[in-house]
Amino acid sequence: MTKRQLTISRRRLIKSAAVGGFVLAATSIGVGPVLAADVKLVLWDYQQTPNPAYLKRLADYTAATGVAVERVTIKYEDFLGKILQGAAANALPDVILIDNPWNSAMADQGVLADITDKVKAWGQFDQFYPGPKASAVWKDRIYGVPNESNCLIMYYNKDMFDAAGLQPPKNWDELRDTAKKLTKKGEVYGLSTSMMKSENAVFVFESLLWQAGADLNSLNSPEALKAMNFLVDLVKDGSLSPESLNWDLRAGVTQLVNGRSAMAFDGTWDAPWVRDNMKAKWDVALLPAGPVGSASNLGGENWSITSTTHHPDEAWNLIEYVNEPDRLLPDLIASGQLPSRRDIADRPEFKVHPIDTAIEQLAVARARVYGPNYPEMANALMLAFQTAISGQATPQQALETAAATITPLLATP
Amino acid sequence: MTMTAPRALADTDALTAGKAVRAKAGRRVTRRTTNVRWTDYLFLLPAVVFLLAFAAYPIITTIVYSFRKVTVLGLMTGKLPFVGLANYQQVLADPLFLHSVVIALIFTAASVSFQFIFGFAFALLFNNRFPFRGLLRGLVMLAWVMPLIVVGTVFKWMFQSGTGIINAALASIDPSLPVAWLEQPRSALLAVIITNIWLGIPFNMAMLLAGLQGISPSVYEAARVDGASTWQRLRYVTLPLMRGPSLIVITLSIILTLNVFEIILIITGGGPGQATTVSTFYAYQQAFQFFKVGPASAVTVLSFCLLALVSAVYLRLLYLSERGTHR
Repeated sequence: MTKRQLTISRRRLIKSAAVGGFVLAATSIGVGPVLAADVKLVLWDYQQTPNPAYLKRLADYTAATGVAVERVTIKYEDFLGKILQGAAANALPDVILIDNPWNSAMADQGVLADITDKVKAWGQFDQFYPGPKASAVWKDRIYGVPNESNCLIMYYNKDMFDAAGLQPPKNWDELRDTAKKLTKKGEVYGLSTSMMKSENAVFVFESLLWQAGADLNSLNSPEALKAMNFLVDLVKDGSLSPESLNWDLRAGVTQLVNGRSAMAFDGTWDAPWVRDNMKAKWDVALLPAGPVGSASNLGGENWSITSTTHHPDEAWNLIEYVNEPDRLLPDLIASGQLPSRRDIADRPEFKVHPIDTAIEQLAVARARVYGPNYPEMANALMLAFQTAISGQATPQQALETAAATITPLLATP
Repeated sequence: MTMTAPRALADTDALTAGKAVRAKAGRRVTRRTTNVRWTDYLFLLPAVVFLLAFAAYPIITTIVYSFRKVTVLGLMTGKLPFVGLANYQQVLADPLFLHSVVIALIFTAASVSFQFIFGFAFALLFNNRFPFRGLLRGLVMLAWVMPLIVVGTVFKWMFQSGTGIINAALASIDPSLPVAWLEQPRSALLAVIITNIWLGIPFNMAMLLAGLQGISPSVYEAARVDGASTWQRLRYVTLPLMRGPSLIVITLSIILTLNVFEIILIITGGGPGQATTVSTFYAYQQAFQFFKVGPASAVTVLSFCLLALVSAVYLRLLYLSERGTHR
């Protein structure tokens, strides 16, 4: 091949690439720069059994733009460790889909790119509910785009309630009373949920704290003590099994599904699983309100871009593409997740029972935005409720110990 | 020491044969050392590279990190400021760390002693010939080949207080016997110790069985001729001759047990509260849950020192015992 031929062919190549790029840009959502077709984005998530609708969102993006997306799945429990290793080995992905309480911690650690300008230019951030929005913001800068939301809710065995002529409890007093009535020693516990050493249980415990009017910065308060006492009383009554110390949320709701408990606190994400496995009639209800009112814990995942990516534009383009309401909606429906944005929540698909109750609960769900030291604070909370339930400490002592750990952690920026 | 049969035996053919072998080997060694070629070192290269990459590098990195402030951002940019002994001070001032050391020591002492006793008993049993010996020995070894995640999960199910098989068995004896195994601090620790003992028996048995098989039958024969009973043969022949192998097994068990972590992660997650959090689990939490790599490295270095101490004691004992038997 002569030099001239080579030049021509190269020029031709550039021309065709430009045309191709134009076509691609036109067929894609039509914003952002022309994307290089040989770019590959690496995405880390913890969707070990991804639902096809989620995979379709990613596949559609590749089909529309030619940008390949390599999806790497990491076990939820290993995710933070993997991020640490990736940072040390300079091998972080371009995009991560992470649990939202980690968002602020990662942002603070410098793992995530500040995408405030991109999000503002996008103009859809105001559609998000305050909780999901708060989870993506750290020190007034935006580091993520919420994918979906979920929250803690109460599942109950309708057959048991009907047989006893009871209604789902609306507040703590009713909950304690109802749970006692429905407990049959050795057969059925009134309530089941997770109290294990995991964020699963913190998800529940923080809801109780908030319902009592306390928070992580007021663990020494009488309000926090009320929450802890309430929890310990449920165990003392025999309504909540001490075995909950080893149950994750799924194991907790499995007791309900198997007819071994009458009520279960669990995430809204388990609704499809309960529907498919529970033989008795079941329903969901709002979490019983505490002394100061209703509260639930907000969960969900956020899309974030790493600070080390070489393809920030393509990465943002991916996030924008897959979060178009019409592309997101089928995934939410298929996975039993709730929308993080008002415009999607208004769709008729979410007006049916029990999703409507879940959306009502979501309105009082709070985000866990406690900054970079959150994992350690969560561990202190786990120690507190575990030592209190297992009788290693009184509720008062357990909370004092937790406060001693958490207070300085909240203070460190 | 009186002149016993084995010594008499050894004095004859065996000794002369041994002498001949040793003399021959000695000659070969001298010839080789006078004639070292660079290719000899080439054969060493793979092993050296392997050790440097997978043993020396991580150990040195851990020691370096234990004196530095390590953040995720620092890992990405390479800026890890030196902080002297701050990580060590932070760890040693943490009551949770000191608690985890106490738990680790209880866990290790209980595990190692019972693993050894059961391992020794099994080794004595399988040192005899009886029907299905091979099959039964294989079954005992099962614990060794099973993935830890399987063992951990199965034991976790067995210890469940409501639905577990252990409580079901206890309840069938007496309804007051069932224990809330994993929900109370002491019984949770006991549960992970029991699991770990079960896991460690095959290792102890295999090592001790090899030791038992190394004892010459002629020694027992001589003891029997002298009129020693079964108990006396065990007490005055087997046990003294097993001192060396036992020391090896116990030391290795201590090292292995101090490093146990997966079983605890699976069965209790270190709980309830801190009840089963051993120091390795504490280090794991610091590094991979709290992103505190510096303090985690400090914990690792401290336990490395402890293990080095155990190994040193072991080597010293081994040296003394070998000198004792060779005299």
